[in-house]
Amino acid sequence: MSRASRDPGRSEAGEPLITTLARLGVYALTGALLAYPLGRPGATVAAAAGAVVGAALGRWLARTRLRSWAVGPLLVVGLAIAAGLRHLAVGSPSLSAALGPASALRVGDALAFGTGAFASGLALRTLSTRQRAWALVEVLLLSFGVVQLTAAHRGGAINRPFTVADPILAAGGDPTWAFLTLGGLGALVVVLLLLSERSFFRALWHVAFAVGVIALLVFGARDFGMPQPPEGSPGLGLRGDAQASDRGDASGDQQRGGAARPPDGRADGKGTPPPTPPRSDDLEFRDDYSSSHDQVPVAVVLFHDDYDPPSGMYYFREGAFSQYNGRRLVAATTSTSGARYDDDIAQTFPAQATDVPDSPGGSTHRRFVDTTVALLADHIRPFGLAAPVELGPADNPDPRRFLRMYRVRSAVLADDYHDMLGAQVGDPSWPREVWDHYTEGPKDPRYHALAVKMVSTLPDDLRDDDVAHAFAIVMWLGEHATYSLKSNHADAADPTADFLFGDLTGYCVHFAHAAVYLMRSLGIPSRVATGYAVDPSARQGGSALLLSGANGHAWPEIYVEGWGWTVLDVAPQHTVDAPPPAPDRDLQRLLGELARGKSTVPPDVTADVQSAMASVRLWARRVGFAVLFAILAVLIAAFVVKVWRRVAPAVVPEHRLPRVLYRAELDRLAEVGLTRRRGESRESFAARLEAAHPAFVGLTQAHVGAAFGAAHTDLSAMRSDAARFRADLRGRVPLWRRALGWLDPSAWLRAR
Amino acid sequence: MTTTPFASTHPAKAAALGADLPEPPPPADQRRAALASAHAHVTRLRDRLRAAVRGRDEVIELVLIALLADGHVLLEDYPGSGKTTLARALGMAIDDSQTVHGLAPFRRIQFTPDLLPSDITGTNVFDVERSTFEFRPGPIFAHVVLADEINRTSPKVQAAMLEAMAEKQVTIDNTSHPLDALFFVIATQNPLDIAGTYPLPAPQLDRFLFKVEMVHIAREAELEVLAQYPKPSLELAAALPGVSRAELLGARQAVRAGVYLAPVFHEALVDLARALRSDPRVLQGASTRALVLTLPALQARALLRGRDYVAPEDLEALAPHVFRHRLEVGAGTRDVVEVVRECLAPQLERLAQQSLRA
Repeated sequence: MSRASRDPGRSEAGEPLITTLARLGVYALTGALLAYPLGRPGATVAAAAGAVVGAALGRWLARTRLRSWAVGPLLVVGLAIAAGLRHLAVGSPSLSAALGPASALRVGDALAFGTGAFASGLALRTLSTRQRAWALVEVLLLSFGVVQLTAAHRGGAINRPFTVADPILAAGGDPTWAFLTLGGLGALVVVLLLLSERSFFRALWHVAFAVGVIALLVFGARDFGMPQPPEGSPGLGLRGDAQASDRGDASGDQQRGGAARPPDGRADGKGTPPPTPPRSDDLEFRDDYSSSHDQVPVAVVLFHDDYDPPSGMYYFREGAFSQYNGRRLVAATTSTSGARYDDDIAQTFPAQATDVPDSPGGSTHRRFVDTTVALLADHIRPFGLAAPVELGPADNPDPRRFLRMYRVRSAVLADDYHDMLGAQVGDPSWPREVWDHYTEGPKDPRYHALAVKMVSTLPDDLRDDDVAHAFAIVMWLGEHATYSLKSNHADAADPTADFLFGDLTGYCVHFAHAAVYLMRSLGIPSRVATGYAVDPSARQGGSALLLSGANGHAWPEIYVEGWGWTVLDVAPQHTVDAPPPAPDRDLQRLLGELARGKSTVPPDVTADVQSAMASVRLWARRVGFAVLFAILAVLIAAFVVKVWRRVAPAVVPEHRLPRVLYRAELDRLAEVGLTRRRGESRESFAARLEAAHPAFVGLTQAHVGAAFGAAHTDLSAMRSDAARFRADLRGRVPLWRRALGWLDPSAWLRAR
Repeated sequence: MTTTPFASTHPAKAAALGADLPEPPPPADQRRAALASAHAHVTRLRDRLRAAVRGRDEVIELVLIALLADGHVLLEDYPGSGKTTLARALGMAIDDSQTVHGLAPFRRIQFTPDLLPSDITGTNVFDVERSTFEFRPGPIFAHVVLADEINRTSPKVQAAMLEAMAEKQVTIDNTSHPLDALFFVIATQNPLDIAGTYPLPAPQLDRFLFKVEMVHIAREAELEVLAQYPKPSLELAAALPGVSRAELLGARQAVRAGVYLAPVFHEALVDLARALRSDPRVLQGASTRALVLTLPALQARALLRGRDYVAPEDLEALAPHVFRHRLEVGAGTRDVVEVVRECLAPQLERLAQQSLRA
């Protein structure tokens, strides 16, 4: 019984053909992915082709006597040739004259990328054929290609890379899912490449495992949401796990499907009393604030009215800190006598339209501006353009993308700051307790001395004006202090004093505290507010404004009678850090459109995509029908052949009977799953079946004799052998098994 | 095999058969009769050998195939496994009453390190009465020669022995003395006890048609051997009819002329040899002579199985025995037969597919 260990389906190196082809495909993909962001489309195609040719030749090269170390110099030479070709194609005057400069550039690109990919593919395939460990480099290259293609998608930039994301957005899909799928497929290919097991079943197990992991990833992302952007603006306490604290209100507006997040099945569930939220809204002094400079979008603000602030910045107030605790300002608590402070700071997200208490309201100095805020990241409290007067829920058109949406009506400054001069600070109706609360500062006399010094430069007619005093303080700070994200005050007993009477270098928290302490030393009611501050130019002409973690800010505010709490920010003239860059214009527009619930692309593009989809569907249907018909035709043909082979013994002339009769019985055996192994002789096959089908031995002998020159073949004996064999088969094989065999159109293909 | 072999002739096959043979073929009836009588003689011989040596049917068949194919066999086995009995029974079964020489039917030569070539070939002896040198033949002049432990003697003696096997003659003092046409050698060597031996080099091994590795016989066969006690088995066998030298020579002739060998077997053999030569595990492949010697062996096996044509199963059965001792394999390859089987599989596949073609 000879066992065939050399399968003809395997290539020379012992690798199944399908694996070889898959590997070439992976090389093509890797080459294309790596070349795609660097070159023109022609270069991408050339790189894919070069990588395939290189990989194919690498297999051959690995079997030559070339030393493995020589592959390195070979690669260097190949890359040098690639660079030289490009130089030659682009720099040669005759070529660019013949083709035109653009075509010359394209040709040069394609040549360079094709040759480079060829050299790299050749080197890598040679090494990895000789040593399997190099497969790791193959995998790393492919992974790198996928990652760098999708890296632009990071940091909330859902519109990148454009070529992949745009059509999906146009079709109303979520590109994130496409990238997740892409990543999953990439992982699958990588796993396949790494394993490429000789054992089919082991490979099957591993693939099943990999598919399971990927499925876990995808379903996990569906049920628990995408990874959240990292905490921006450390120390300002703008963001945090707001879900727990707002659970009670949130469940209230779920039936409206409005501002609340969709139910996400967290373990604590609904109805249980919300646990105390982690208080992350304390204003900490930090020495290194630079980690806040990330561009991850945290919210989109839609402006329903145009508004150009007199302060030169949009201030979105989220929290206020007015209570002096001996070291710094913290969020105010209700006093022992029941007085409430900073009531204009909304503590919870609105479940219904609510007026913000203690807000300035419409006055001659303020007008109303309506905005809608769509949160991309969780926040502790709602924030709004200073100063919010009314909050209300808003419909969330895309609950998967926007965690929460709410409407804000703000009473914004309509008049210039100059008009504030002469107004009274504070509110005469405040009780003593409130006055004390808003004017309490460090006992350090240096604050008052410095403040008096600042005020002394004012012209005589403003010498007694509190508002002018406040202006003088922030102007002095803006002139003399240096803005830096890195400072060294956090360890001091009074970090603000360390900043103000020290090197005067710090960030917004220092500035705000210093201004407030100085103002309070002069008896001006003031506080530190936190939130986001954005330059109006960031809108870039649109009505949507993208807020990122880098926009987090703290600023001083003073209370002016008739104006309410008013932003009075320091504008430092010396700064060692660049201001946060303007948000990505396309992303800002895209997210704005999404927040409005509108199509994100112009109608004609949508129509194009839809018509393309329609034609794709049409073609898919046509191809599907064609495939169906082809399968049907093949099935019918197979059955025709099957039936012919079965009935042929009755109709063929006698001299063909030994072959045809044997073939018919061979078909019967194949139908019940008994086939000759590859490399097994007919006699051995018959001997293997002899115990169960003794008549088949004689049949085989007669057939082989007729084929190899026996002088005489006893046809009647053969017929009787065949009849006995069929009787045996009926007796030994159950009916259902034979019936399955009758239905099998491919059995005769396995009869060998 | 219920039908009588060689009952009638297919005319088309007979014509093809005739075209294949170098000399004008005997008429079909005559050839059929020759095959039938050859089959009868060989079957008789086989039955007699089976009676003498129990449980060795496969070895007996291979020895008979070699005898019919005019080859020699090398038996590799343990002492006391019945090889001498087999050789003696074969020699005694050949009845040589008609020949003029009166050659001994059987001789056994025990090969030792101090043996000289003349000890086996014979030598010229001075006849004092007639004052002439007269040739006195050595033990090699017999129908069946058992060369026991052939690897224990010096290369010189081995060379003389092997020359006699190849040329069927011995040369002493420039005079060639032909050996009998039936001359058949069964050589043995012990596979384990190889200290102080002169292993046969590959070109000398090439002169043996088969190398047969004998394994211990089955329990039932061993019980049968003991059951015959106290009667010697050779005596039992002697009661059965033997064959004459002329009948055996006729059977050889009938096998070569009468058993049809399809041309596809030539291709299969050549391709098998080429595959073996190009296999990375094989250092030296089989010679063309080996392939030529294999053809009559295939025909002989077909005859023994009662067929008038060579079937793929003949190649499948004989290839391991033909190529086993002719291949030199590299270090790390232990089983030569496995290599042969692997290279044979594509050829068997080809033959199997051939039979289904119209």
